[in-house]
Order: sequence, then structure tokens, then C-alpha cells
Amino acid sequence: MRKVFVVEDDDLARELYCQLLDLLGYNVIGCAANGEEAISMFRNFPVKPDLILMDYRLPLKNGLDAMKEILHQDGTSKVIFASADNNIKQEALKAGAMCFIEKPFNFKKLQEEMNRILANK
Amino acid sequence: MSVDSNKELVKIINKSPVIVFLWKNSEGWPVEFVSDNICEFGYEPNEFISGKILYADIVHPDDIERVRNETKSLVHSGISEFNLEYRIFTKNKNICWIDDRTLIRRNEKGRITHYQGIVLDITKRKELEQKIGESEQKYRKAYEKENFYKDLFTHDMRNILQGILNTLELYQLREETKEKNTFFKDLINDMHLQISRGTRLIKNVRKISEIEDTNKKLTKVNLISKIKDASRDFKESANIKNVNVTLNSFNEELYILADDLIDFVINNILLNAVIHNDNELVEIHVEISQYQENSRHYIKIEFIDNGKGIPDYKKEIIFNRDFSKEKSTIGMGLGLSLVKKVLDGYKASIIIEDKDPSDYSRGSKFIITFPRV
Repeated sequence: MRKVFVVEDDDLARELYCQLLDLLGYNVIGCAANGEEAISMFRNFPVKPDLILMDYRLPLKNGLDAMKEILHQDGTSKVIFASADNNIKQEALKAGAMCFIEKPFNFKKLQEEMNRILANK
Repeated sequence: MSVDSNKELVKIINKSPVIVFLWKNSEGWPVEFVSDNICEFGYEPNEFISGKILYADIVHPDDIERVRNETKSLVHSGISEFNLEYRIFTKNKNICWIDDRTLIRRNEKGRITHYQGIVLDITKRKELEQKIGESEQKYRKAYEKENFYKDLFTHDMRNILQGILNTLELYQLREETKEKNTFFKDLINDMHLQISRGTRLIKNVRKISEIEDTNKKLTKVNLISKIKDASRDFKESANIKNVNVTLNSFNEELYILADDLIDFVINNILLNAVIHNDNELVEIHVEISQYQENSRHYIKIEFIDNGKGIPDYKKEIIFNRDFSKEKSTIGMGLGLSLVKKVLDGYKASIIIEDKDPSDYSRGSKFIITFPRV
């Protein structure tokens, strides 16, 4: 089962992501609600996730900086940016995100992207 | 200079808005000479010349240190003249802004003995500058506020929609195992439509500033490849309905002057054909032709759909939604009005006709005419 790490500050969105990913057959190994927590949780995962679903506007540290630090820890990590801030798309991709999905998106689209990225692993 | 000339000069100065001073280089800047027009500030020349009032006494206490320091530093820099702006008190204790242009007078040994200068009342100019400054600040604040609301709307609204969408998806995934309920299926479908509508609104609000950016440069664009690319992308993204887009062009390369908003234009026309269409299969035919008028060449593109059509009263207002327009346009989508704005920038035109002239409800024909490059 593919392991996914969810980074999203909105409680409801985080909960929905987890439930949907679970129903679609993914294993959500952790959820972080801010950028700092994301970095720290990622560092402590005994087994790293196959995919990270990352929001941009996060407390303490934004998703872009959090992703950069995570990629610094493990350059093989696959990050999918899911954000309402379309203006950071290019920067996110340049910094190493595998793809950028603009909110609102449907999970079918997310699933397609996840499968595409995981297939290229 | 003769005595008469001197008298004439004094007369001119006293009638001018410029007050002449000769200050001694001593503590408090005692005044050795001041023109009679100092009375404009309510003082008598003799009050200064007698030493009753030192020049420093009338300089505003909030400015005196700055004037002292700047004078000192300017003198040390070796220059022979300088210019300062500061406030002074009139005899009636009113505050006036003045422009002081001073020339440094030195003796044979190079020591500063006096400062000679002219002083001009610039209070009105300063008040105007202050008003302009306040006005700029006000507009800056309004601009920031606008950006804040735009950001709030586009970002937060997207997140809200994301929540609704995910809730629906969750519901649908769970319902798949249970008996289908038509009522709930329709309800979900309606909610999906609302989400699409909200998403389009957000995208269009974002487009407004892009469209209003008058500095955007137009370049030569191959319209045929743009239409082909946009149609392909559109078919892939319009996953709610089956869409069939066909294209008939006499040429593979037809150039117009446009920018990247041309994609927005094509996408909106195609989207319009899908949204207002109840058929299982949405059919959009794109017919391209060209013609010549008054020795100018034009490209005509017709987007012909099998949708619900547009009644005549709507045809007139469908491109007119704007802040300045009357209320009748409210309730119409924003997309086609933005399409019109973009096309105006390309010097292109857009009109709507009925696919079947005898019955508008059988489909629409969006006709865009571009000047050919």
C-alpha cells in the first residue's frame, strides 16, 4: 500500500484528504498542520512516505520552504503541491515539486497525478 | 551701483515675495540686515536689527536642530551656498514653511563672517505636497485593501470549494456500495455545477487584473494551432460531458496579433457551449474563413454549438457586464464580458447569431472577426 504524508493546516480539509485517500487505497502515515511540524515529522518517519501532499499557506513555515527542507533531507521525496495560490506554481515546480494542483481539485485528478508520479518512481 | 539704483533695487525686493537677510555668523544668527517685506510675517525689520529677536528665535523648535546640523555639515563640506526648507513662526505665532537659499560670506582669511540669503514663503506648496502625500497614501491603502479582498476571495473561496468537493466525493465513494437514490444523485450533480460556477467566477476575477494590464504586448500568434491546442485541452478537461470539437479551416497557418489571453478567449467560448447544453454529446464546430474589406484582410471564426441557444435579449447584454454598466447585466456570467474586453484589445469583434435563424433554441453561433496579420 502506497504511503502518503498529508501537510494541510485546515482541519476539515486534512480530515477529508485522509478519509478519501484511505478509501482510495492509500496508507496515510501522518498528517502535519504546519510547515515546522511537517519537517519534524518527516525527519522522524522510520519509513519515508512515497508521496507528500503539500499545501502552501501554512503556519510557522510555508509549504514551499517546508518542501525545500524536506527535499534537503531526502532528495528522492515526491511532493505534490495542492494549493489555492496558483501564483506560486512555477516557484514550487522549480523548487522540486513533482506537480502542482490548483484548488479546488477533484480526487480523481489527484489520483491520476499520484499514479503518474508513482509509476515513474 | 548708484544711490538711485540701490533704492530701486530695495523697492523691487520689498514688493517681491522674497525676503532678503544678512545673518552674522554667531550663536542664534543675529540679523544685520533684513528687507522691509519681513512685515509679511508680521515683524518689523528693527526688531531683528536691534537684536531684540534673533533669527533662531523664530525657527520652529522641531526644526531648529536640523537647521543647525545641516548648516554645520554643509559649511564643513566646503560649498559656498546651500538651500534649506524649514518652518518659522510669524509674529502671530502662525507657522510658515520657508525656502531658505543662503550664500556663505567669508573674509580674506576664509573665515565665515556672514550668511546672506533669501527666504521664500512656500507654505502653500508644502500644504499641497502634504495633501498629495495624504491622497497617495489613501489610494495606496485602497489598492492594498483591494488586493487583500481579492486574495481573500480567491484563496479562501477556493478552499471552501475544495471542502465541498471533497465532501461530495467522499459521499459518492461511500454511496457506490449502497442503493442509488436519484434525488441525492441530482443533488450532488447540482452541487458539482455550483462548484464549477464558483471556480469559474474566481478564475474570472483573477483574469480582470490581467486583462486590465495595458502594458501587455501583442505578438504574432498562429490562430489555428491555438484553436487546436485549446480544443484538445478542453476535451481532456471537460470530464462532465462528452464533447466533440471539429474544425474546418482553409489554411493551417493564420496569424493574428494577440497575447496569452487568446487561450482564455477560446476556452470561454468552448466552455459556454458545454455549460448551456443538455445534450448527451456536446457538438462544437469551428468554421474558419477569411474575407477582405476596404483592402484589409480579416479572419472569421464561427463557433457553432448544439446547445440551448441564447434569446435575443440576452445576446445584447451578454458581453456587457461591467462595474459601470446598468443593473440589467447583473446575473449574467462574467466570462463572456471578459472575452469581449480581451478581443477589444486585439481590435477584434464578437457577435452571437442563432445556428438556426428561425429558432434560437437549436444552438448558437459565436462569430469572432480578427484583423489578419
